[in-house]
Amino acid sequence: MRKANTFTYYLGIIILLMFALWAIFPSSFAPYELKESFTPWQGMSMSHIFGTNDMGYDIFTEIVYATRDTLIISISSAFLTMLLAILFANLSLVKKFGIGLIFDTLINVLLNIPKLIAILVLISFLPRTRINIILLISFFSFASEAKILKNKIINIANQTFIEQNILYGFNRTYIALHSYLPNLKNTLVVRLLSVLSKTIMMESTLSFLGMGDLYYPSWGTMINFAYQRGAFLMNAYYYLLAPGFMIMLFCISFYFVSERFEKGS
Amino acid sequence: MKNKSCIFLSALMILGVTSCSAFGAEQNNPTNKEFEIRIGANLTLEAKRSNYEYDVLSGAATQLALISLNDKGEYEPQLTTFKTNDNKTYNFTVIEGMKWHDGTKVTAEDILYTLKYEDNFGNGHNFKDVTDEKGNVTPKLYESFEISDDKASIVLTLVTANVRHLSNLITLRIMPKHIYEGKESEVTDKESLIGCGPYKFSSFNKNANTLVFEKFDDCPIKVKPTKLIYTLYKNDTSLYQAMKNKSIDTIYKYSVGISKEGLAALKKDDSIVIKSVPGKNVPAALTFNNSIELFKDINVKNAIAYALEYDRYKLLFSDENAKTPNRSFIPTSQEFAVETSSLSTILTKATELLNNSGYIKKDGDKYFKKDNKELEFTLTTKLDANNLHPRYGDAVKTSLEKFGIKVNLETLDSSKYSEKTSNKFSNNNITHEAAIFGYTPFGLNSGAGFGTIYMDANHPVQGGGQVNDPKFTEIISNLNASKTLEEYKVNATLVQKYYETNIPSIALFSANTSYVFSAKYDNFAIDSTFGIINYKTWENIIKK
Amino acid sequence: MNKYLRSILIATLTLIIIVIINFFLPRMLPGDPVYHLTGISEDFISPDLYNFYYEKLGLNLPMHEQFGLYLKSLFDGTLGYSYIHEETVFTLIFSTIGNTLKIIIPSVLIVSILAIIFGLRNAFKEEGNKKTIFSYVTILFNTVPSFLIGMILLILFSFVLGWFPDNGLNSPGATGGSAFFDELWHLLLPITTMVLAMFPSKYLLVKENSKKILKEKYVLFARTSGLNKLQIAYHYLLKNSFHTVFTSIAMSLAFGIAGSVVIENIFSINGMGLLFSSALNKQDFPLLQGMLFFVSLVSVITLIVSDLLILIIDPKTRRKQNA
Repeated sequence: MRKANTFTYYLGIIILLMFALWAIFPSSFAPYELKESFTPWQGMSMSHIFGTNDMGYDIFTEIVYATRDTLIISISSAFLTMLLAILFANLSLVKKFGIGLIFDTLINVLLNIPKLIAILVLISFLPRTRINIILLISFFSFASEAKILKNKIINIANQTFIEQNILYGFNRTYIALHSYLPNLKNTLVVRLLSVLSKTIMMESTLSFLGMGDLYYPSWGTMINFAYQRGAFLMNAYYYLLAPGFMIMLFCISFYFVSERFEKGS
Repeated sequence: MKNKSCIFLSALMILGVTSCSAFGAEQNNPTNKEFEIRIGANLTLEAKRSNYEYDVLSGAATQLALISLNDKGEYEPQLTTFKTNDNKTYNFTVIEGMKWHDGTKVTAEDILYTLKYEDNFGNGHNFKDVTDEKGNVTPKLYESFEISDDKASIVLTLVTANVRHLSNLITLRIMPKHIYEGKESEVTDKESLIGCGPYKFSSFNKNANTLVFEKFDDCPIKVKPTKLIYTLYKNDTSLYQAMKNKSIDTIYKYSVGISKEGLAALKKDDSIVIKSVPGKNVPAALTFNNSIELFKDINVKNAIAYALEYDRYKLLFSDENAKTPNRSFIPTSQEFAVETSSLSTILTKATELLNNSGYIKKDGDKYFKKDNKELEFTLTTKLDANNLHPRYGDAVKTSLEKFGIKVNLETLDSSKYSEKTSNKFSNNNITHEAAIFGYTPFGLNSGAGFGTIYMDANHPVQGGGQVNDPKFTEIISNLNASKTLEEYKVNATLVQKYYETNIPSIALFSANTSYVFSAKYDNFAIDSTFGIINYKTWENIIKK
Repeated sequence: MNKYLRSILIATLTLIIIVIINFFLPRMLPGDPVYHLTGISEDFISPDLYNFYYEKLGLNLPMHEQFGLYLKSLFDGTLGYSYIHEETVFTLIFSTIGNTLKIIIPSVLIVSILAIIFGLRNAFKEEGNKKTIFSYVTILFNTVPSFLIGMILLILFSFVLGWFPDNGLNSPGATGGSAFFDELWHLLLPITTMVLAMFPSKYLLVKENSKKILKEKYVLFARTSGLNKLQIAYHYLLKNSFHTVFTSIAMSLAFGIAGSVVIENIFSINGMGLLFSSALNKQDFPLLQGMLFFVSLVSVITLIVSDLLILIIDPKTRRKQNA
């Protein structure tokens, strides 16, 4: 079983690396330039591995170029989510002046608000910029993570070695760095990876509902276009499925990577 | 019973469940000539009155206009017969036996009421001059009216003779005076559904997405289908798929016809008849706001006309029948259309024109610049049901940016789009810089005709082109005052020449309009305004 | 603090926060508050109409009176007024919620039952960190966006195979008993989509929770003392994870409304989800805000009710709380 885990772990790493390279150097991986136009609705062939779409754009090229947008939004929102989660988890444990109670309550309040609806309502008021989308996704995603982290910290605090450290008279920073952090590390990695799949899912759902940029499509927007423009009627299933497959591949690689850290989490 | 969904239903029936009746319609005895027509449409209906989509569908079912325009471009009686000797005085006589769906007789007073209703509650200027906020005056159309003693006829006298006056009346639905008068704002939803057409409103089922009209027997127009069942789909894929699966008999597509993708999916099927006619519409036009500073410069518009890639648009958006349009955006299949010079992509010419206006593109620059400012504009597109208009925007932006003009795309839902591009919905405050428009055959023919309603900045409803040129205004008033067809033809040529030189709007491609119908039926008529779904079709259609 | 009182407090706070967001957002944003409150922009309406809206919305009143007016619209049950639909938000929600519940309620029930059955079963199988193929497949499904699941089902079963309808909730003309089955037939694909979209997370929750409990000393003791798996599953796993699982199910009711935004779009069903997305397209701000409030209200109410039910059903929690 361990062997299999190692295999999937490296597979995950390789796939993620590939996506990272696509995002950073799209022009080196895409066979054509973005918005370079050919005969529309071509099937799969050597020159167009996923065919061309209604606008005659090479679908694979569009997927590669879409990676950057998709990744920027999902990775930034995932990191911001985790930062907020760590902040809130810690603040909710502060015992002085009822600060902990306030933050704990805030976490629970945010947990009650349906994420997708709230994000969609707020984005309709605000300009649909990347930053706003990132901020909104993070703001409505961090509460559940904060709750998980908080429980984990309490869990660690109850363990005997922490009590020993306190008895030995080590100061707080020392305890935080040498006792909490090593024990939390795995949990943080696993949560970050899981949040990454969730944010990419949220990003693509928002794009699918038409909240994204229509001229520079992300994967979700591509699926929206494929469906609306008649990919099915033209038997161009690859236009519909290829971007969806990328989303799956992306999420599953995160899962493969996170599996290795799960045991210790 | 070839329908696969019916096979599933039969399976349910074996299990002791009765099938639903709608699918059973086909099983009727073949000698029984009664049949229903199932029509699919990609529309959303809110259960509310004054709904544009409902008006569109009811136009070929429950509502009648005075006259109609057949496929040969001739006017025919619909609710009334008509007569004019001098194109100034028109006599309309209600056809014997026309009744409202509540049983009341249709009279000439209903016609008069409708015209007055337009003046008082709509955008009419029938019996009084209308002055808008800017002080522009739209003069009244009619000098006087006279209703005959038997209330069957009305004589309307125009202020100035107009040979094309009838074209304004082909979509004017006559309203029941006895229901509306005195309680215009309190008419109930149910009352507002009353018309005088050969079909009456039967039901609207929001869960089934169906709208049903049933035959109104007490109507002189004798139609054959006993029911018209509209099924509303949320996207074109489902709509064409339903046609392929035979759950509908025909497709309603206002003005644009079946899409390229739809035709590709349906044309292999022998059980479906496809009718293609030269398009009388403009599916996509890049329309400038001709009153903004940038587009007052004819060189800029002309350069854009030379930079657009027409061959590519034909390939992307149409089939083998597509043609490169002419500089006048009027489709050549229109009556009195003249051949203006053809558009073509010549980038060197475009560069030269921009240079003449002081826009220079230096080596290494992406866009042309003048006084250190990039040449750019915002292109507004409508978010339509199947994302086609944003694709037109995409194509224009890609072409122009490749050449060196920056285009900022702005995609709006259709109501927000109208609020930016039409006089009526913006209260005469059109704010777009350039927009992708689709011109319907009816729109191109309305008012003075030849798309003037879309161009004329002073038009009370449209006016997206914002052309404010006195020369153009003069042509419009001449068109409106043409007493004979010869005179009209001269002015029609003038307006098209005006478009050729001033380029207020550029058609991206010109194409055929295609309609589909189940091969089980025959004898359809194609109407210049409404396409294949019209009263002539319902009168003549036969089931094989 | 008493846990039940605490959840009521949190529920109240949630609503207060939504109310504050709803009230202040349109008024604080740069631009015209009339636009943000009606969805109709100043540029596009005549001065008369603008002034009419300005007064009708109470924008000429001091802030606290405006807030009072807003609260009143929440308490009189109208939840605001949609100027685009010309209806109150409550009427609009009420006319569409039925169809949405027809999808959500069966889905939540099916998902809960399946998640508990498979979650408990596989918790035993996966002791010692092995993973069953079932879990792998579930994890794979967890990575497919729900809109893609819906689209694939629609294309495969409705377009290609023609087994299921692709539009709405009824066939035209279906009546009586056949109408019920007709509706069921129309609901099958949307419900399947929602089940497939919700199942993975619920299943993994039950399974992981149960695995944790299986490691506890008292469970190990019980197992060595000869209780069979079914007894363990019922007495220890289900009872101990009852709270978490039940709360999660309750939450999914409100969160299902969010899911229906996507599903109703794909299957053309006139429910709350479609109402919401059309409001998004038309920028019908009052309707959007009213729906946000409504969905949050549903969310907190289900939470309070589920907490109450847990108290009633599970005496252990009751004792714990009083202690």
